[in-house]
Order: sequence, then structure tokens, then C-alpha cells
Amino acid sequence: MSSEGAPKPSSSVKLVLLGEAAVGKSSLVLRFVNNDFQENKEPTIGAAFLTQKCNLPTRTIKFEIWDTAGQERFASLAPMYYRNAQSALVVYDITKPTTLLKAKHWVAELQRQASPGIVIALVGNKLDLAGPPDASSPGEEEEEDRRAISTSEAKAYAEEEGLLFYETSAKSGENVQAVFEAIANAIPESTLKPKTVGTRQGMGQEQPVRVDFDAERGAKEGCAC
Amino acid sequence: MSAENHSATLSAHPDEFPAFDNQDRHTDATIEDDLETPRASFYSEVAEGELSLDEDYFSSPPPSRNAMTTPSELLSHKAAAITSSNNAPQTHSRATVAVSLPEGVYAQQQDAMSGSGSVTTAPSFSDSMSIRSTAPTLKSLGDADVESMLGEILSETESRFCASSIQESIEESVEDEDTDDEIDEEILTDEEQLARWRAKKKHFFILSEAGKPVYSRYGSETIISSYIGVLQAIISFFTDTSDTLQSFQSGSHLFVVISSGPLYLVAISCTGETPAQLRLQLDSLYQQILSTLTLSQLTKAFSGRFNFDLRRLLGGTEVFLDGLVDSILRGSPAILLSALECITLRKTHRTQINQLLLTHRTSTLLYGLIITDSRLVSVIRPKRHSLHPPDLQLLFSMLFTASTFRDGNEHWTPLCMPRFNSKGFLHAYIHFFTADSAIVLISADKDAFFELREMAEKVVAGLQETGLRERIGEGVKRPKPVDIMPGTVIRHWVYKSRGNVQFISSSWEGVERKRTMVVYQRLHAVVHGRGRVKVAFETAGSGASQGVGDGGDNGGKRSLGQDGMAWVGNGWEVYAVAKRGTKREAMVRGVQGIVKWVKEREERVFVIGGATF
Ligand SMILES: Nc1nc2c(ncn2[C@@H]2O[C@H](COP(=O)(O)OP(=O)(O)O)[C@@H](O)[C@H]2O)c(=O)[nH]1
Ligand SMILES: [Mg+2]
Repeated sequence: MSSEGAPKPSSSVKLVLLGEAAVGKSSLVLRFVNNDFQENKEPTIGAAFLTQKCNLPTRTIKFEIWDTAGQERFASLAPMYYRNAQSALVVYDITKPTTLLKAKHWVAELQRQASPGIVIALVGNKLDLAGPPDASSPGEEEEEDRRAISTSEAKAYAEEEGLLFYETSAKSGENVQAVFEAIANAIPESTLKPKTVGTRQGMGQEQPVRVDFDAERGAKEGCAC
Repeated sequence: MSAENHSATLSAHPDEFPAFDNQDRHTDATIEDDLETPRASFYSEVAEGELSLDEDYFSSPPPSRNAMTTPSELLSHKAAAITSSNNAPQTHSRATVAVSLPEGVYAQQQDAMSGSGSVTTAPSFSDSMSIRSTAPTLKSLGDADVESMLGEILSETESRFCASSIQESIEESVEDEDTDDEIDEEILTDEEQLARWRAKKKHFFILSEAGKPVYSRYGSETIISSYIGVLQAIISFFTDTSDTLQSFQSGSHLFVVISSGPLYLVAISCTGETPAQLRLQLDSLYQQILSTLTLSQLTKAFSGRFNFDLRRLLGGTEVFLDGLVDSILRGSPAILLSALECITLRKTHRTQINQLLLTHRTSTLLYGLIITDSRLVSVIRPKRHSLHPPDLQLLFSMLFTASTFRDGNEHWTPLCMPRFNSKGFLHAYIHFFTADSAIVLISADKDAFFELREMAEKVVAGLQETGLRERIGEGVKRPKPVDIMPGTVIRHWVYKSRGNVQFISSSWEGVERKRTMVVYQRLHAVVHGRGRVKVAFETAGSGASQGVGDGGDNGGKRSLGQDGMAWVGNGWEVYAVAKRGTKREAMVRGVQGIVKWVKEREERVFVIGGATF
């Protein structure tokens, strides 16, 4: 639904994922790019680079994604990956309080060191592990609610810092498209340059650009990626 | 990890690291065009050096103490039971009586043969080693002489030879280890976990000088921490008396310790390997840690923080250590022989692939490699920088033993190649362009990703267009012995070219890999042992390999079911196995056939020099 038709203006957007190890950064990317989920992913080493197109009504955004490792060892290398990024997903795990703390550190570092106009989204992942949304009425749900960070707490922080905010599940796919679409929409028109360094034409055979997302993905707002 | 490199590492002072363009031959076995000549003689020097380490066994301890339960006793428990339940007469059989720790540390043992295997601070030679050293030294003979000698051996009467108790536990380890990893440890009780943990035939531990656990392949934190504490106590006892503990035997378990930078690495094994072989394995684990951290970071982490918990920094890379340990347990010719394996390619095809890499080379490229199935396809490097096989071995292991990089995505990761420069990171572009084949482009420039990415794209497209990708796929197939010598008795062989620091192996199909590797490991110990014998046989049931002239077979023993032979020539060595009871003439003919076959196609089966720019 995207590749045919009149060519829309197309531009690349560099995006970096940051956050503590095991919060689900790679899983979010895997969901976004391949619509897939792996229960036991081996930890990322260094960083993986992936691309994915995102079709907006008026233009096509090609995300160039750095999925970084979150380990302590990695901290000193991070600038290499976020330096020219136009956008960042700072991810925490809603079941682990320390991960929000770490996320706040990353946000602060980005605000200090990254490109001034960088669009940052704060993402609370593993939403599937939380109980039903109306957790205020505990009821008799069998599923254990493992949420340790409330939506309102994280949301308040995000608003204060001017960040986009989403809670997602890479496992179920919930809100994953929405985050990327929100980022794509939030990138100011003015900072978009037409295609770019990282673009690769001949990748076709091994990595077909995936343009055929469809409704069953459940992305209501439809990034139409 | 070559043997050469290994010994250099052991002796190197922390800050004496060779600059890459000013190499010391002893430190760096390299893939280089100009290296054939000095290799053989240099090798034997090193072998000698290694042996002096091997034989740092310790003589008898002071009179016995009361028995106390300690880790070494626990560890040897099972093996001791095996020994005692075996009724066959065993001159070498040993059983641990007690290990006690109060003031000082020593293991006290009954040993029918000698004091070998006990611990004190006074070094002495082990008798079990001296069996091998009585083998006549044939080093003065050229290849032709060896061949003529082979005739004599074949007609020689065989004398009896004793098996050591270690033999029995090798059987166990060969038999049981494939099956016991399936169960999910978490569903077991603590006791069950402990029992399973103890039953492992081989353990590797890494700990800090302060005794903090850094890594263990098996066992939960609670299980290993007490053992780690005891190990640390034992090691530091020797350090305090300024006597470096290198290895000791307790029952059928051999303990080997290396002290590298701020770390101790310990192997506990009852698989019959020599201390030198175990040290090579430990060194490969140490190099893996360096490749994650660099020596500088490793040293810095502990400076002023004696108690630092290194696991925080290693986070995520344990999969590589696990992968390395697993391949060691499975039997790794690459680690045993300290060499790399290549795929077979016609010279013209290899040249074409080199050319593709050279043509699209970018200015910041340091090394460019195509690797498939843990084997080298092609490599390009600058003329003035060597590429060090141990570094490549690490890289291969990281790529192929863990799934981290094998997802078809592009990766950009800092990587220390310790032999190149242990103090700094290089940056590697890694992309698996098929399920089994990767292109790896290494640069010293951390910003080179996009440039290298473009290069990779062109090279991969080139491989595709020219059909070389298919050639690579075909080259992965290893020949069966009967494919190259119809009717041969040889079931499996490996051939190492020392000058190229590479080896080629026949197909593992239908071969019992672990058992075969144990045969090779024994033969390797003999030909790299003190006598530096050039030809050695392993007779099924003998329980020990013999150099030429030892003769002997003690029939009737449980065995690895195969006979083996090793032959060391000028710049090469070959190991082969045949069915138990194979006539030596037939085996020798087979091995000669292999040598001839390899020599006729060296440029196909090895990467000679690699392309330079
Ligand atoms: N239940 C659940 N598990 C997740 C989710 N996302 C990731 N995981 C799991 O969390 C672990 C770490 O995920 P990974 O993507 O490697 O995290 P990263 O280190 O941040 O890249 C893996 O075992 C994933 O399967 C999620 O949304 N829900
Ligand atoms: Mg990850």
C-alpha cells in the first residue's frame, strides 16, 4: 500500500534506542521491522543497524535505527551511536523500577550531548506483564500484575521533559507502531533532508524493504510501514 | 591461540605488548607470506619451554592429616568411585584420601607410582609424564628417515603398557556429556543441581584476585561461590609464598591455574588433557575477556577497587565464553592445534574473492574477511599489519557459537583483538549475508560504519553476481577420507600446516567427534611432549599414547574404540584415527596418502598469506 502510487517525498531519519540491558530494545525493533518476537533473545553486543520505512500520509520516512546494547561497558561508547541521531527511543521496563532511573539518565545525557532538536520518546515496555488497565479495582484477575512503575509517574516525568510517552509490549505488539509513527510525525519538516548517507540500494535480496504491513498488525493509527 | 602465542602470553609482563608492526616471532604466529622457514625449529623451542611448565608437578606432602570435606574431594568423589569399582589391575591408580585446608593447603594422595598428583611447594617431575619422555627422540631424523623408520616399528614386538586411572573417567566423560544438558536447571532442587554440577567432567572458573567470581560455565551462584572461595584460598596461598601454582592433580582431577592480569583462570578436568593443553583453553577464555574489555579496561576496573565485580562489565558477553567452553568440551581442533580452518576453494576463486574485497576497499579498512561456517574464506590486510590467528579464532567463535550476530542484520561493534593491540578497540562491521556466511570489515575508525557498510554491500553483490557465493557454499564440504583415498582405513584426520597456522579436517560425518578428539589430544600431547617424537601411535585400549619405540598395548581395557596416529613433518603435523586393531602399515599408508593429498593442493585448502594492500 505504500510503494505504489505517486512518489511521495522521502527522507531518512536516524533513530537510536537507548536503555538498560534487557528492557526490550531489540525486541521493539524486531517487532517494528519484522513483526516478530523472540522469547529468549541473546543480548545485543555493540549495536545493530536496521532500516525500516514508515509511510505517512504526506511523506515517507525511512528510519535508520541503531539498536544499542545497554550494558555498563557500553556507556562510554554510546555517543558514537546517538551523536547524529534525530530521534531516540529511551526504553525502560515497567516491571523494573531501576530501569526508569537509567532511562532518566539517558534522557539527561541526550539533552546535554545529542543534536539540539532531537525528538525523544520515553517508552515503558513489557506492558503485557501489567495487570488490566483499571488496576485501581483489583478484582480477582489470575494474571499477576507485575507492574512496578505507574503510568502516571512516568507520564508526568515525560511531560516535564517534553518527551513523547508510550507504554508498549514488544511481545503483543501493542503500541509499537504507534511509537514509531509518533516519532515520524514529530520530526520537524525542516530537519528532514532528502535521502542520505546510510541509504543502501542493493540490499534488496537479503533485506527486502518491508512495505506490506497490514491491518492484522493491529496498529490502529497505522504507521502504514 | 597458537601454542606459540600461548607460551608468550604466559610469560609476558602486562605492559609488554608487542606492537603490531614490530613483531616478535615468539609472540605472533601470523598469516604472512614470508613465514614458512623458521617455524619448525622455533616450534620445538617453544615446545620445550612449555614442557618445563607442564612438569611443575608437586611432590609428596607432609604426613597425612585428618580427612575433611573440601571441594577437591567432592570433585574427585565420583572418579574415585569409578576407580575402585574397576577390578582390572592398575599400577597408576590413585585415590584421594584427604584434602585439608587449615594452615596452608595441600592435597594428600595415595599414589602407587609416585608423588605425582600431590601438592606441596616443592616442584618435582611427575612419573606419569616420564613415561612419555622415555620415548626415543627422533627429532634429528628428516622426513625420509622417519618413513624408513616406520618400517622398523611396524615389525616391532609390542610390549605391555599401563593405563592410568584417568582412562576410566575419560570413558565416562566421552559417554555422558552429550545427554545431560537438556534439563532445565531451574526445576531441580539444590541437591540435584549440585549433583549435576559435580558430575561435570570439566569445569572452568574465572575469578578475580580478590576471589570474586567472574565466570563459570555451570552451576548457580550459590553452588559455585564456596568453591571459588576455596580456589582463591589455594591460589593465594601459593602466591603468598611467591610460588606460583600452575597445576596439581587430585585423584583423577587435574587442576590447572593461570594467572592473567588481575584474573585467575582455573580448569578442573578429568578428561586426560595435559596441563599445557588446558592452559591453552584457559588462555582462549582470557583472550575472549580481553576482546570484550581490552586489557586497559580490565586493569583499570581493578585498580583501586580490589573487590570489583567484573561481571558488571562483562554483561552480555557471557554467551561468548559459554560458546568457547562448549566448543572446547565438544572437542575443538582449532584450539588443540592453535590453528584456523579454511574452506576449500580453487585458487582462482579465492583470488577473485580477494580481488572483490580489494577493489571495494575503503580507506579506513584495516582487515576485510569473508568467513563461513567458522572457517576462513578470504582475508585482506595491509602489508604492514599481520593478522594473528588467535585473534581470528576469537572472532570466529564470537560469530558462530552465539546467535547474537547471526540475525541477518548489520552490526557495528567495538572489538579488541588482543594480539593486534590488547589496549584498544577496533570496530567491526559484521553482517551475515547468508545463514552461514559473514562479511567482517574491521577498522580502527569508530565512524567508519557507513563507509564499510557500502563496501560490504558491493562485495556481497559481487559474490552474488559472479557465482562465488555458490563456490563458497560448495567449499564448505569437507572430504571424507574415502573420497580422497578409496578403501583407506583412515576414518578421520586433521592436518595442520604450521607455517600457515591453519589446519584442514576431513568430514566429521559418521565420526564420533568427542572420542576422536580425545585420541588427537593424547597424540598431540606426545608429539608436543618432551621427547618431541615425530611419530606416535595411540592403540585402542592402551590408555596412553606412545611415541615410536615405546611400542605396547595392554589389550582388554575399555578404550576409545579407535587407533590413532600422529606424524610430525617439516612444517606440518597430521593426526588420524582408524578402526581399532588396524594394522600399522595400513594406517601409515593412509597417513602418507593424506600428507600427499594435502601437499598437492595447499593453495586450495589453505589461505596462503592472504591478499595485502
Ligand atoms: N513479556 C515481555 N518480554 C519482553 C518484551 N520485550 C522484550 N522482552 C523479553 O525481554 C528480554 C530482553 O529483551 P531484549 O529485546 O533483548 O532487550 P534489550 O537488551 O533491551 O535489547 C528478552 O528475553 C525478551 O524476550 C515484552 O514486551 N514483554
Ligand atoms: Mg538488545
